Amino acid sequence: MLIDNQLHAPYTDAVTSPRSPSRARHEADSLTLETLPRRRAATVGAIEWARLASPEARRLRELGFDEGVAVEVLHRARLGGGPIACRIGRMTVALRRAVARAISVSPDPMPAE
Amino acid sequence: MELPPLVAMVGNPNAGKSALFNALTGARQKVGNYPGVTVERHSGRLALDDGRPVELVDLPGAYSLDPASPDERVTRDVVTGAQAGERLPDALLVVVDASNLDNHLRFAMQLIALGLPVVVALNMVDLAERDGLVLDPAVLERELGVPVVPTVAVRRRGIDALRGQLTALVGGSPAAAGLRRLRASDGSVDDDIVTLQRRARVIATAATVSETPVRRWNHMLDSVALHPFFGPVLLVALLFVMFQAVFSWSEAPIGWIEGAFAALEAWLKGALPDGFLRSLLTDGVIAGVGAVVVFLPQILILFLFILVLEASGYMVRAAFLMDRVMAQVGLSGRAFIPLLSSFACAVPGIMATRTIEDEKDRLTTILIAPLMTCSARLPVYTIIIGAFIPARQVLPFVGLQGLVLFALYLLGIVGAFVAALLLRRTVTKGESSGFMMEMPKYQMPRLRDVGLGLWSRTEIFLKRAGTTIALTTVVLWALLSYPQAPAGQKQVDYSIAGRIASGLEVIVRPIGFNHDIALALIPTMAAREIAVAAIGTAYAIDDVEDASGEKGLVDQLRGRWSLPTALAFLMWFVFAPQCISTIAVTRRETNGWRWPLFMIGYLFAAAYVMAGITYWLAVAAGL
Repeated sequence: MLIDNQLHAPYTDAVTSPRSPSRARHEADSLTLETLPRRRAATVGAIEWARLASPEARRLRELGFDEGVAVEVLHRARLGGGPIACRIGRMTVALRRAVARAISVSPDPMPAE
Repeated sequence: MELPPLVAMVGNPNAGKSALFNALTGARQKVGNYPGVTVERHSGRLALDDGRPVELVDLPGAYSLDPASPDERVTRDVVTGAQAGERLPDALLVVVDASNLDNHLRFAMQLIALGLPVVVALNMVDLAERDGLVLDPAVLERELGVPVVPTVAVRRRGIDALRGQLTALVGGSPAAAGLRRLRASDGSVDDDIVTLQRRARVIATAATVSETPVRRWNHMLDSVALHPFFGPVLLVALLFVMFQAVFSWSEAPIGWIEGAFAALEAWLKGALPDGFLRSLLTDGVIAGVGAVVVFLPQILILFLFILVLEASGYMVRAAFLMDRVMAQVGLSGRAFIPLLSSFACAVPGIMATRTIEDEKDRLTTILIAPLMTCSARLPVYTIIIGAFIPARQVLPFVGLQGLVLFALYLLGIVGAFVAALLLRRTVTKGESSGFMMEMPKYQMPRLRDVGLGLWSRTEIFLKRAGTTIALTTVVLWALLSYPQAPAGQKQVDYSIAGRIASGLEVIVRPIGFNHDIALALIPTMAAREIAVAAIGTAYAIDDVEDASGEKGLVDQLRGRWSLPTALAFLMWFVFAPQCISTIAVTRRETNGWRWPLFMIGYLFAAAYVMAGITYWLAVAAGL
């Protein structure tokens, strides 16, 4: 729990500070991991840690979710709210949509054909 | 006696620690328990290059030093020296998955920062190379400041080099002096995970020589296994094959075991004079133990499937597919794995709940696990169905007997879901927990690991059949045989057990249970499969004719029970928590008597009510 308290504040500050380059992107494009099209390479923008329960937030950090990390949605379980499997770094991680909703992403530019 | 130096193996889940542990220690392994917790302690001996022995302990996989589960807590407490019953390790062997460096390095860095001597095993380098990833261990060594040895545990590559590094590391200086970063007295460690993670990513990138994206077969498998339509179809098909195999593959071995016991009985009857000893051995031990050992093949087939599904990495995919369903009753996909294991036996199932992080979630899963139709119920179901349900085809390929068995399985599942729903709204009320899980790469299950798993199950089962079950049936035999009934009186009614049963009969009479069932229910508290043995023993003693074989028992049942009684008896076994091992493991896992007592209470209540309803409905329907 200590880690969460210590990390929450500074990290959220960093994300919402006007200097943060991700913020502009985040506002211009409100895509989250929940809505990111499947198999579309993207980068993690801001993560709204405050929306997550603290054990969830901690595990999310431990699995490597962080601003600027490459992410890709691999699978969605059934229509209507099943979990999402995504690639984060080199790992495949399953998470629920409510958590995915707290993670904003920006799609990488499409590679030139 | 001076203890050998202790080396602890630490790493993320799925880093291949166990395979490396097996490669380092071979057969010289010991499985114990940490005091006060039910986390298993795997340790083994290893001889260093200079001949000195070292004790190697394989710690549970963890993501960081901030524990989320009892397993992870043990890992943290051991490496910080806070674990009761374990000394501070003299060195750490940190295992990282070469193809998942950016994540595993973070935990490695956290461990290195503790200040103990460390050697890093860069494990599964072959799989990384297959994925097109070439790494430079020298860069890792420089950045981490500790020796790094590339290994392929399953092929024993790098094992000698690793042992060489350990030889240099262990015993050089008193290790305890090196522990420089133990902050709180409770062993907790504060680390900025995000900063460490970023640093880990930088190092991982620096150590990457080249990376060629290759089409990974892992993704191809997942695109079927996790497909919105084909995924669930595959899961149902796998479960169907599993349960089908339990019955069809086991037929032949069951025949062999039955034959062996029958031969043994015939031999004893010929070798011994009629009397006390012969009756004890044939009616007591062989009738009782034989009735139970017959089910070993089915139990092993079930465990074979579960071990293979687990080792291949498919189990996590199943959890993924089941999360939505489990969420409906307030659980998560994680609960699916322990619940599926509970179909084999609730004891390993309940132990597997340790991976569930949320306390309420875990407790709910423990409380409903005994409702999954465990293999110990099979003997009871099989005998009763065989005796009372006609072997009639209701549909092409669907027999009535199989349908009833399927319905009993289904009833257990539905019962468990209803129970979870109610529990989550009352006693285990709380925020619905999340579902977040790493999905490991698919792996070919290794024959040796599956074999070892099956062997340990066989050992446990036979030990139980040879001790608890044998003893219970012998005690029951004695209670049934004495005092000897005078002429004209029935032995079963006149005996001590019969008199106890007459007391219980008053309670169970309203739900259609007769004197024989009341008699069987008492020893069955030890284990469900005893029900068959107990009834078998009772009828063997009661009958002049030999009735200890299955054939005899079935005919006996048909003559003595009505159909509503048999149906009520089946329903009772769907719910009744008649298993001392389950109760004991629940007590251990929940640290006290409160939850096991609650479990016993609610399950017996459910069993009584459901058996009663079944009986009266069946009577009303004129069955």
